[in-house]
Amino acid sequence: MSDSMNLGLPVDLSDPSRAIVMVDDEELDFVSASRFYKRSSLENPFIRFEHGMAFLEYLESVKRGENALPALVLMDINMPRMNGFEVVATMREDNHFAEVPVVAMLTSSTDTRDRERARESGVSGYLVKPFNPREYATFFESLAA
Amino acid sequence: MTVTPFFALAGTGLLCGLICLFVYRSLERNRRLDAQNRKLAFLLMRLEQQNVDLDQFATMAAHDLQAPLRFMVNQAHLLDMDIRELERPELAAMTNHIIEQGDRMHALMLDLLAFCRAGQDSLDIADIDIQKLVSDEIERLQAKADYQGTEVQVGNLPPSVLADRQKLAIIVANLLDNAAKFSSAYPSPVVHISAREHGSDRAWQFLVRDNGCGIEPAHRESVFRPFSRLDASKSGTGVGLSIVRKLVERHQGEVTIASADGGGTVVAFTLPKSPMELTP
Repeated sequence: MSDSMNLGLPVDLSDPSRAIVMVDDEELDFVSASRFYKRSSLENPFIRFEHGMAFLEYLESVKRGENALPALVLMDINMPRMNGFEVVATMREDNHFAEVPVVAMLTSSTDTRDRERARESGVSGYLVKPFNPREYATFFESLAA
Repeated sequence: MTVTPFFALAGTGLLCGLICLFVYRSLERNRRLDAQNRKLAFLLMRLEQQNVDLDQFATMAAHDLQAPLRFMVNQAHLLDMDIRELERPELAAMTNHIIEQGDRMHALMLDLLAFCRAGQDSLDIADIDIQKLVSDEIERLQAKADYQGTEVQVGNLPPSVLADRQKLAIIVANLLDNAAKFSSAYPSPVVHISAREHGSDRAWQFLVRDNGCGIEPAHRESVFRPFSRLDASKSGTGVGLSIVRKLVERHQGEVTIASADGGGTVVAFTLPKSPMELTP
């Protein structure tokens, strides 16, 4: 995560019903991140969707008023069926979700093409998935600050 | 029929026969050469394709192995946190070994990727402010905790050079890092970078000098081989100089290594001045 795009994100966590959402087909990444999330001072729900379609269905439920607008989305890029950039592009087509901050989670710091696509695709920033999961703690504390 | 015209006729016939034979043999030789050339061209094409395939395989392997390795190292870190709460130092040492070796494998994968990509991406040749590039790379070097005591001196540098900016930055960063690494264990480590005109002024030659332990002449070629390390106690995977050589050669330059006056090592690389010699 030390290699990341500027993450001066306008994340509004003041409403505790607004979730931080992770969209990632790899459960172990969520296991690592959620362990450090629980230790952070953040109190918003931290939830996961295992693919883009499930996340887009969740957004439909947000529009129907059944769930609160996500406060932040952590979007994996390498996912089957719909990759993260396609999910973000579909999400951004709807004005309801135009302002929701999205952080692209890249697999490798050497993916220069992914980093360029991240800049162009409408995400608010990107993070490289860390080898040391303690870096999630730093990230969550930066949101809490 | 007289004797003279007979011999003249026979001589002409013989001459024609010899010419035909010569032409036939020439054509036959040309046909064989053409066949050999076609075979060589085919073999060359196949070799080039195999090199491309091998590079792409190494790139994909290194890239795709990162995710499972990250999971393993992530889990080892989580295990390490739990074990520390149990106060079992022998178990903590074991998880530390897993993490250290995982991190080492990750560094190797990243360097393997960097080495393969050094030969794959196209060159984007432009006029580069080399003084700023060197200054940026020195700043990056001195931000590293290990090298904060290393003095970096800058000698004469041209105002600009023709090169691919990103690749030239990798060359300079690797050479500065290498020089700092091999002098940092000595008192008052100094790294010096400068440039001079070279080869009847057709090229710039850059020199990166350190006052470290030096490299024995017998080992000077092997340091350019990927993943070769002369000193296992030093950090790194031993791929830096092979990346430098690959990138410099792609710029139609060459890299040499020699002893520096007064001890230490000087690595020199050339960059042609003329854009004619730098076709991407």
